[in-house]
Amino acid sequence: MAWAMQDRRIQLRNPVLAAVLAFLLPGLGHAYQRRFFKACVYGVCILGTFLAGMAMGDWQPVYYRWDSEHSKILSYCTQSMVGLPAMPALVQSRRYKDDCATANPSVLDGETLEAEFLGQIDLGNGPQPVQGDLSLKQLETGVEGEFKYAAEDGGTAALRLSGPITLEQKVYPSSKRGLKCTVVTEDGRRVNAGLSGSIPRSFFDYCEVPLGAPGRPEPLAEVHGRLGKQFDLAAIFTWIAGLLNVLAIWDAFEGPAYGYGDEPEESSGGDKDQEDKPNPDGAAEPKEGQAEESNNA
Amino acid sequence: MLEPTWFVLPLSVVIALVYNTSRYESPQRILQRSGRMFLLILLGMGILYGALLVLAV
Repeated sequence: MAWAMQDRRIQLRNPVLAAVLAFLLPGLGHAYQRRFFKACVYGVCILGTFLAGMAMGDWQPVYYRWDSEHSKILSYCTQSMVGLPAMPALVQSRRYKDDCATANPSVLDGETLEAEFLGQIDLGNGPQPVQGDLSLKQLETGVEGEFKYAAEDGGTAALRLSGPITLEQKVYPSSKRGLKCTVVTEDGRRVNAGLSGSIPRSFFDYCEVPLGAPGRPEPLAEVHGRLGKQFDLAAIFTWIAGLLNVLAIWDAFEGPAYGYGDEPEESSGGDKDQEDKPNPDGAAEPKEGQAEESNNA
Repeated sequence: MLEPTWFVLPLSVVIALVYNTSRYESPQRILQRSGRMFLLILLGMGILYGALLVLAV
């Protein structure tokens, strides 16, 4: 803190508050100190790295999981240094656990469900790829609904759906939510036909959700299978962002490590960073040899 | 996806900028030092790459 306190151009205001703000959001502490250039650099670089990693990893590399089978506590500690952007992982961990315990795959979350469906349809002549609009309604007797899709002749076809469905749980680490439905005739008779595929999952229901729970290792294997080394690279980006924010937090608390930086730059040899550092009196510190010489004299 | 090796460029820029921003206050000195550090990182990795390439051949 000595350098910053000596240099009146650097106003740290309340350093503890600035450090807390810098932790919560990279650049915010420096904006509070009115060091706007630094706020921009930290905000863009650190948040940019973090968000790039998240996007590369399909919003999955940051998650909090701590159980007997699998612990991601060290990884999360590093990522959590980015502050608020990593905090939802704590909430998602709790939501995922609760959902694992209570989810019923044959019941809708709400009264109705309307979504775009992408998957396969089997009308007795083998599975065919299909895409269309699905609407389901939860009744006391079960689930009923309709599926509209573009038929082969160019028109719109509609199928009536009823009976048992299999709907993947609401909170789960995937942007797609698996769904299986049974097709029935207009008079409600079940036929040997069905829909199998997925509907989009809400961003808030898959972002930063733990990749698995005790007894459920599938999501981690699935994401590694889908993204491969890109997922590991994405996790590294988020770690780097977290570690870089430690420098930013310290800068908000103590000021720049080597002073303002407008001191004349030495042109040759040695550790330049050390040479740049002024002493509290504002004069350059004597080099080792010079100090010894003056002592001998 | 882009060849992962190319990610070294934006990562080096970010690391050089953030490190030097935490060392100095003057924007001019920060940019100057960051540019130099970025080139040094690339040079260092280039030397390592060359050494590994020689060992591998």
